[in-house]
Amino acid sequence: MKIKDLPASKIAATLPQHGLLLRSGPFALRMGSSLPELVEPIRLLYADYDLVEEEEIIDFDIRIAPSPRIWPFSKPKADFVIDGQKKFEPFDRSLALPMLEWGINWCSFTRPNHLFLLHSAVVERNGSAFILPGPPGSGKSTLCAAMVLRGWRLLSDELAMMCLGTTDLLPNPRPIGLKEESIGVIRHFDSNAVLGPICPGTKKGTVAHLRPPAQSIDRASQKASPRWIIFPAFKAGATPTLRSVSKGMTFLDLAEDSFNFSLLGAEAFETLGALIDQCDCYELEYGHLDDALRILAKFDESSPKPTGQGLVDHETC
Amino acid sequence: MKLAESLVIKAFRQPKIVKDFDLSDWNTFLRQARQSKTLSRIAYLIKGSPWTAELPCKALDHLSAARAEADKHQRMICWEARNIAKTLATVDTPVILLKGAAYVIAGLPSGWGRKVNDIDIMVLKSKIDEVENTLLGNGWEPMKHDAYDQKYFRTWMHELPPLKHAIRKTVIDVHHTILPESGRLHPDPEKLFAAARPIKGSNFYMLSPEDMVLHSAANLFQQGDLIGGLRDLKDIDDLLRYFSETEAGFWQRLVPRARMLDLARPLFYALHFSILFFQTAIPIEVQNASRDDGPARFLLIIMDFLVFKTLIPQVESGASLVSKTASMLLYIRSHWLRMPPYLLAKHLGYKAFLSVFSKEKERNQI
Repeated sequence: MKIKDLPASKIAATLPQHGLLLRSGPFALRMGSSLPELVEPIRLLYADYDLVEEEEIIDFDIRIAPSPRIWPFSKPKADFVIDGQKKFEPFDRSLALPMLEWGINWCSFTRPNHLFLLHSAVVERNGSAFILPGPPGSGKSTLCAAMVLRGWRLLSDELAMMCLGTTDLLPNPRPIGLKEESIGVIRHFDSNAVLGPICPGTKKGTVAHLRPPAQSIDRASQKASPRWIIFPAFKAGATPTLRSVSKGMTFLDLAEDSFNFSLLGAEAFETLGALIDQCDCYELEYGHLDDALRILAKFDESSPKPTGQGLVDHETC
Repeated sequence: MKLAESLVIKAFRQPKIVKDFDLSDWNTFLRQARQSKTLSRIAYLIKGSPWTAELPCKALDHLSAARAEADKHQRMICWEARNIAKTLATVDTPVILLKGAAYVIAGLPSGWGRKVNDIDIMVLKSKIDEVENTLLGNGWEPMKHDAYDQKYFRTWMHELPPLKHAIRKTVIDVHHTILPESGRLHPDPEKLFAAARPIKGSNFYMLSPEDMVLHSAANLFQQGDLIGGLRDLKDIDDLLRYFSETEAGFWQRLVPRARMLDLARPLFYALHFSILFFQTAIPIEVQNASRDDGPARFLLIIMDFLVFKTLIPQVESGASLVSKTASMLLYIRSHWLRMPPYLLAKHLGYKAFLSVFSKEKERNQI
């Protein structure tokens, strides 16, 4: 059963109580909230997620609750409760949705340290995956959103996950966070894109979330084999250029931007080495999404299917 | 909740019991273990047992993630200890590693799977300025810039305000004794230094076995507020078990040493609660001798209640009102023991003033 199969009243009643228990890639996520304003955005963005209906080990347990108010007239705040404990400082209640998303991301970045975690978007078509790493502002999420809207499968807009010792990528499709101008760009790019409410005033400015495609969520148990590592570099007005990047530089960049490279030590080193050996590495400078997509589409067409596994069903590692 | 019903306590007493956990037990256990910062410790106790293959896959994932995190801490501590040793080589003082760092560098069982955030060292008080200046000249920076905090630490505490390395971001606490100078109990640091032992394969020292137990006891029951104390109580249990096997005469020396160092009461609590929580085997003569140092029976009943409420990990989300109140009372107790009333009033008054009038805390990150 999916979230969208539940009546709104049921969701509104469950969220403040036990919370919704969802499957998010390899994770079971319990999402709770006693803020009524979150019901609609959650219904919208998580519509296609499967409910976890049998007893299972819960990986992340996140709840958003209003903070107790001490002074009259003070701004309403909300708290993050992870595994039953308050984390972080209270935040403005108006930011509850981006904070919920940020909090789930925070859990997926810091908790699953049995996996190797790279900070990067991942999309796949025909069994071959693109890894799109990049610092904030490089256009990683926007490019990822555009690719997904054109039929690539979303594995993640933030996180490339591998079991140690293998390079197959574990999907965890989640709503894609878009910032500032990107929101308008994606709206304009595809009028069918489903976006959540627009939230101004976060640390990163205005944000909105793109609902992940149902198909990507349905296939979230299929790993993908990495084939290309592409560093997107958006530059307004630039003519599209594809430059080869050395494997050594790619290694350093990815290690630097990994969430647990130093935590996992030697095993992460080996895994990252194997990943990069298996991939061609490029930097893609572009000024228009359509240019970038045209170039990326050629990769798919020209490459033979990768040897070996391609798509493999998985349970856990 | 009763002590024996807590899954974390059960797992510590008999690690094999996790084999019988159903999925709902695992959820409770993982949550409790995270809350009490003991997951990686238990993960180490379980590691390598032949029956681990029977555990649910996802439970193994959580355990191996926790172990990886603790391993990282251990590597960081080893590396950091080397850097500190190199930096302080020019200062003429023995450097004693305390607490977690000592367990890890000396390879004691209490260090296995233990997360260690800060490195605690102890040096001679006469050399502490030189130590501080040497650290400041080699990349460490003060973390507390507030003039009140700086003065408070230097006047009343047993340690300098913490220093953080600018690049490695590791934190070091430099002590000159083991309890605050403003407090009720005053163990003589000279005696601690005189009994300290070199740690093999390093330039550091560690406290003698009895003193290590006493320091841990003092830390938990004299100066701390017991938040996150289950892990620290487990340290005490581990130390007692280990030294009773490896140190001849350990039990005979423990209580007299505690009295000599003015730490008899904290030792009583440490033994009392270690037995209750972890069923530590402590010779009856030692228990009897230590009981003379305990509080009046009425006070012990209250202390039992407060410590149970605070140290037994809660199942339900959020602590209950009772356990919150218990934590608060222990917090007040820790301050009461740490400084005389007029100083306490002044300190809390200042902190209350700050919390109302100082700038809003760091904005949430998003």
